[in-house]
Amino acid sequence: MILNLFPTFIAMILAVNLFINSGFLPAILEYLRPFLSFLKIPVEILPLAIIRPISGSASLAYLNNIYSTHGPDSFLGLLGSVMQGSTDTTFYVISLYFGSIGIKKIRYSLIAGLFADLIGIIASIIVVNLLFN
Amino acid sequence: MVNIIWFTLILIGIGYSFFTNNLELANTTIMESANVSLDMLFKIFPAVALWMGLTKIAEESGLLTKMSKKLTPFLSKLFPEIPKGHESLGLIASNMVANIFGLGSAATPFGLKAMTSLQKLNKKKDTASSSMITFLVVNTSGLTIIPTTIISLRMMYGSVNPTRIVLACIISTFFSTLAGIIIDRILRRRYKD
Repeated sequence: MILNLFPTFIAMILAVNLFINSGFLPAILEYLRPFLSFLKIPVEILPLAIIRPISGSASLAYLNNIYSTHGPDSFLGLLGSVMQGSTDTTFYVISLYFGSIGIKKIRYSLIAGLFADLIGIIASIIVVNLLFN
Repeated sequence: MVNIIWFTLILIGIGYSFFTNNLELANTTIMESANVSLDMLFKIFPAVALWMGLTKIAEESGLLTKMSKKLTPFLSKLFPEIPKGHESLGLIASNMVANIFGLGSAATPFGLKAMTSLQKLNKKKDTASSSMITFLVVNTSGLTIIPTTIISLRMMYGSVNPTRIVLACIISTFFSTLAGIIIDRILRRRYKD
């Protein structure tokens, strides 16, 4: 079974690493900064929200980064913790679970999974603002 | 469809590296990726093997049937098309229990086995069934009540109160899981099997 997973796995890691190492995300976020500060969403948290559904290890690495620069008890640290804790790696789980049994047509699963993540991210921003601010 | 997304990520990655004159980095990333994934696979393999073995024990000792019976009223509402007492219900229940306690590495083997078991009920083998999608949505919506990994990470970074985030996590997980179940119900009706 592990061997069946390897091709899926290798492609996912390749895609995630290429995307993250290219520095595309920070460049895009610079453009969004004024809009986000209007909504009172810290820009620093956005990469976590975007990487989180794609890769668990990459988002944990980013959370590590937030903890070490801002501290785990800072507002960003708390928000990152809650965001990480209340969402999951939707792309990864869908690829892995469907890949293992040879499902090609995934129908509406991605939309539903990402919608749940989006609500989780919004809920974590609201809840952290209410509880800790 | 997922393949398209992975492909887009690769395209953006290479495209942007080219655009910023950083193709060297993209090159090394490609070369390293195979090694990195093999390393990761070796790292998760023992855990998966161990939990696969434990799920076998849990299955044969009747623990799975017991757990699934407790969760049955809830699960049969969520998965009306799965026949009562089918093995997949026990596996789904175990996956949920592992997820609730934040044991991601334990949840995956249960989840993979649940998928194999749901595939036996599936009529079109290359297309996801409604029960598979419901299972995935509930699974990926978080479901964690005790985020073990995050608490230990916060501890590592010297937090004065590592568990301070638990209540906030439970509240937002509740909303994301609820949203997942609601959208799944809506889409399920729209795209009938």
